[in-house]
Amino acid sequence: MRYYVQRVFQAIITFVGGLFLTYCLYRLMPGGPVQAIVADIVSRRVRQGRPVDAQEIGAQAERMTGINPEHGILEGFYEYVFNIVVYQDFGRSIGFADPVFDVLFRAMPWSLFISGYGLILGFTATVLIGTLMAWNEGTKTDSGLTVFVLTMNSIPYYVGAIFMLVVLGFEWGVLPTGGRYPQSAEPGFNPEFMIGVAKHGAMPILSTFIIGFAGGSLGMRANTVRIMGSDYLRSARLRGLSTNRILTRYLARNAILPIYTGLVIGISGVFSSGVITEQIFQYPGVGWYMFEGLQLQDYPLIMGGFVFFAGLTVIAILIADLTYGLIDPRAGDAASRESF
Amino acid sequence: MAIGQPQQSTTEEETRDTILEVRNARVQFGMSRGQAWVLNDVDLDIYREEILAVVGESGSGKSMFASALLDAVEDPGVLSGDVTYYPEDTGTVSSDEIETFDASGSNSVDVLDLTTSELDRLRWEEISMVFQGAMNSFNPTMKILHHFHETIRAHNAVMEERMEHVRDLFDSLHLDFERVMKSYPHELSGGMKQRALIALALVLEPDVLVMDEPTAALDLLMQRSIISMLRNLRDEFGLTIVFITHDLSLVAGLADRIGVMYAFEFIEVGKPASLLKDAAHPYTRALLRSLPSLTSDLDEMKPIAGSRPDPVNIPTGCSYHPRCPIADDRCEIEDPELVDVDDGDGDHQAACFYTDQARAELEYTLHSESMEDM
Repeated sequence: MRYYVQRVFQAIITFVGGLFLTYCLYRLMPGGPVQAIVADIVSRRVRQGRPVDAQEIGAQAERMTGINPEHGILEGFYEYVFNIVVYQDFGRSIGFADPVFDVLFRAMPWSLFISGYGLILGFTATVLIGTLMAWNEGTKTDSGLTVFVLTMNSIPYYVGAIFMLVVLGFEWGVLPTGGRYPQSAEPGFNPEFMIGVAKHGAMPILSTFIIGFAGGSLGMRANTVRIMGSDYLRSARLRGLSTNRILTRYLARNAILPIYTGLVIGISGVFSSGVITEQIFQYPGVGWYMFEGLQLQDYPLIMGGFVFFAGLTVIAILIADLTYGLIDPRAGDAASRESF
Repeated sequence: MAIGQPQQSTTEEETRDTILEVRNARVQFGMSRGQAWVLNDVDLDIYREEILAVVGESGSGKSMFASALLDAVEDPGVLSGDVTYYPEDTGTVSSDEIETFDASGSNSVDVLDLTTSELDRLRWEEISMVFQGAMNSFNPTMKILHHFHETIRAHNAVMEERMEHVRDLFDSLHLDFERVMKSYPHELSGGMKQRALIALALVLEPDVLVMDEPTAALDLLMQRSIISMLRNLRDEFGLTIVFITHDLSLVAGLADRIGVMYAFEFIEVGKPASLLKDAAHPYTRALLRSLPSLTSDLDEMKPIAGSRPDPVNIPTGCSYHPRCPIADDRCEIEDPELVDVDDGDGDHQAACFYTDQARAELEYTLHSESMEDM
């Protein structure tokens, strides 16, 4: 129990620390976001011939960014975090004229949808291909798959994504080239909408899948080969256990352990790669909004996106920490377990 | 013929009933340097309810012999020859055991000729094994209990009946059933793991238990206590035990017979009393002289000159001749078979032409207390 509390506590510290660093950048960068916004307001006022009142401008900038440039860094950071925690107020998006939280919150399910499916497919492929290679170690299947995996691994996912877009989207016209669902469809529980969502999501999911599986399966193969030579596997075979049981309960289960943490932490990598994937497929998820925000110099939106990704990374690591004890009985709450 | 027909060779006090018969067993590995023979034409009979200790130095083929008994030689090793298993008369077979392998009508099983599913049944139900790497023979992510359950299930045995039997086994092995069963392997000590593994090997009441260095990596006290438990298990469950070890003094008091392996074959087999007190093969004598003991002078201990043979290039004739002090030209050409020494009742056999000379010329003294008990 102490272990879990400790981990959660560590995660919170990590998150707040990351947030603070981002916030400092936000504030201290010469010509940084807040200064840019203040300068923008000042020049507009000067053009319009209105008086330049520092306090009034500061308040206006605070409404837009959630940060009052008149306050010090620590004080401002406290206010920023306080607003986030209590009012979910990340400031107001400049480009979309909506609170940042609303913009990102609306986009989040879509990002989770494509990243989630891509990850699940990727993990499954990692485990299956790795085990398959190890099971057929040294045969043509093994070397063939190794070449395939290495090839897939060397193709950057965005190149794969563009290739898919060109072939499947434009040349063959099988899949839509942008958007989250067909314009004509009524969002809800109806076949047209659901099929539309699946079709629009297919290519982003596939390209996420490519990031997911290639590298891991070589590691999986190495682990599996090591476990195939272990005494307990030989013992299991001689005890007459079915191949199925040996594959799942003995081989895959033990081979997954070393790569499990990597897989879970990889979640955050997949989400942040969404910035590019969603841009390529014009799929308005969190990544897409972040990129738009970047182009529109919509700093509050970008800052919100940072918070989102930082939170996601910390949560992924936390999940990896907390669940490792479940899949490997030797780790986790080992200290509290009775040993004799 | 190295060994006489065992069924006929009777002594006054016992009838020898063969349970496993090994003939011309060879294990071959293809290596880049050539063919390696890691079991070289082994002939041996194992008798019902005996404890046979197989001793030899590292790389003498002991483990290969153990694996060969279950046809469990790992790829790319190729096992040839004959291993025949004689099941007990069907009358005494316990109810849960699936029909014995007498489909052919005769009451014997050619182990190397079984189909995969028949082999799966023979293993663990008739002949079981405890491995060398006992510490790692349990799945680290599974509780001990599930190892028993999955084994019972895989052999379609009756769960309650078998688990009752496991409780008996745990009692005999001085293990706390509840505590051990709900533990993961890493939560048990080495000795507990080892004993749980013996129980796992006996869960389906096999007739033969092959143990490959079962006490390696255990402390001396635990070794001794496991040895004494083995003797009880043999008496209680009518087991035949093949005990592979490199520790001669450990098994001296345990075994009914000792087989000494050198260069991938048996060079001497006999009852501990006669084999240890008056070994007939020059190698066995040298081995006994090299044993350390608390009471002997260091000067008395002599290492065996030379090094062990290369499995790719086993010496012609007697494989021990390059290291043997009394070898002559005949030993270089002719390969001696196991023949009776002493009175020829099959109690003591050695593969040497000059056993009398060896006994006369090569001296050794026994020091270890357990050996003097013999």
